[in-house]
Amino acid sequence: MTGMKRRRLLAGLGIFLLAVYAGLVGFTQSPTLGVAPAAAQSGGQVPGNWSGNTSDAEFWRAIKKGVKGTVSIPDKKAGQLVQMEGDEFRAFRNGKMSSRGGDLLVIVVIILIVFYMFRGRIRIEAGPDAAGRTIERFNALERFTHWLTASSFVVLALTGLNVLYGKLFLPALIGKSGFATLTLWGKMAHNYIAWAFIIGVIMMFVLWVKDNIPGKTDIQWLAVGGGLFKEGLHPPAKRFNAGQKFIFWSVVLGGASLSASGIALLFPFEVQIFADSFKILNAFGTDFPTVLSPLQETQYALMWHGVVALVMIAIIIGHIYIGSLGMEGAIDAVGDGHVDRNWAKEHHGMWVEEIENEAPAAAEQQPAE
Amino acid sequence: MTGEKWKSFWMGTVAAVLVAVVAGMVMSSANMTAGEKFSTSNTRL
Repeated sequence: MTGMKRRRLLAGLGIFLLAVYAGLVGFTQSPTLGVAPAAAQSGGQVPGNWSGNTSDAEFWRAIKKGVKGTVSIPDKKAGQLVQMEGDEFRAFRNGKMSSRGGDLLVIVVIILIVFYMFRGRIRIEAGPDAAGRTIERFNALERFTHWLTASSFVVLALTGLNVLYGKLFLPALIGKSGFATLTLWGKMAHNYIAWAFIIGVIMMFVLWVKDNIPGKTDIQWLAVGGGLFKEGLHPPAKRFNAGQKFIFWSVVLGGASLSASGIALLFPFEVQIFADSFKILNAFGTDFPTVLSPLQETQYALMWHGVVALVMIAIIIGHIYIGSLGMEGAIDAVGDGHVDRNWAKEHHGMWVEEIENEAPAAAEQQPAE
Repeated sequence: MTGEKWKSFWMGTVAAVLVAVVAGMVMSSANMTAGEKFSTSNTRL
């Protein structure tokens, strides 16, 4: 190659490289083609300015605190990578709620055992009616309503307790696979039989609200502990005594609360009840948050549902005790609906008088020959 | 409880089961499963 040709070749190569460099500078917007020399972070500014003015540490700190970004998918909740309140929810659900709820149930059972040891079964003091006379306490519809609600409640309670406590001991008993299957079917049963419970509670309210309005008689009844702690003591009571009225309102109000939070859990992110409920409560001086994310709503629903359920189970354990083992003759009311006349006179004397005054013939029912 | 006394218990319990079955059928047909709801076919733009 002659010298002239060599010079032309080198010049053309140089022009070519210059053109490539100019194109790359235009592409990277950087005279150093995006390659920056190593530099220490200063004043929160990262070298190269790739993430704006925020350092990585600040960036992740904000994410941990629950900052919401934007996402292009339809589910906008995905814009929040970390929900800090979730840690508090988990700590409460797996900590105080579980431990104290479990303690409550154990304490109730212990109290009932001790009560039975000292008081024994509350008998009909005058003995069953010698002539076998009975009084109709609950008709067919009332008994049906009671058992619709009661059977539903038992299934709901057991499946619900499994959700909270099952994993602590059941896998060791029935294996992990067995526990998984049990919990899967149990949770489905919980979701669907809840509707039977809701129907039952509504029917109970309609049938019995008029007989469960608190009154002066209830104060007298409560003043002597309902006669539960002393033989021969029978305070006056109408169709329902104060203890039964407590059960009624617990079931109605507790049941309604469980139903509302349960429906919120059946349709998460769609039925959101806590923000509006907090707004109403704040009118009475409280300071609950009124702006809640969908996830927070679900967490509040879970906590409330769990707490109310545990309290309700404790109350109903007492109800089941007194209605079966605890008191002779009580179960007949929801069995065939007819209670022994002496039982009725001892425990609901005012109610028997009302019935006998209204319809003397109907009040006394002789047993079938 | 004698046979007659069990009647209302069984009627109430069976009714609860029937309501649960009907509720299950309604809810299953009305809503997508979690798998369907969060699959990529439902999260596309």
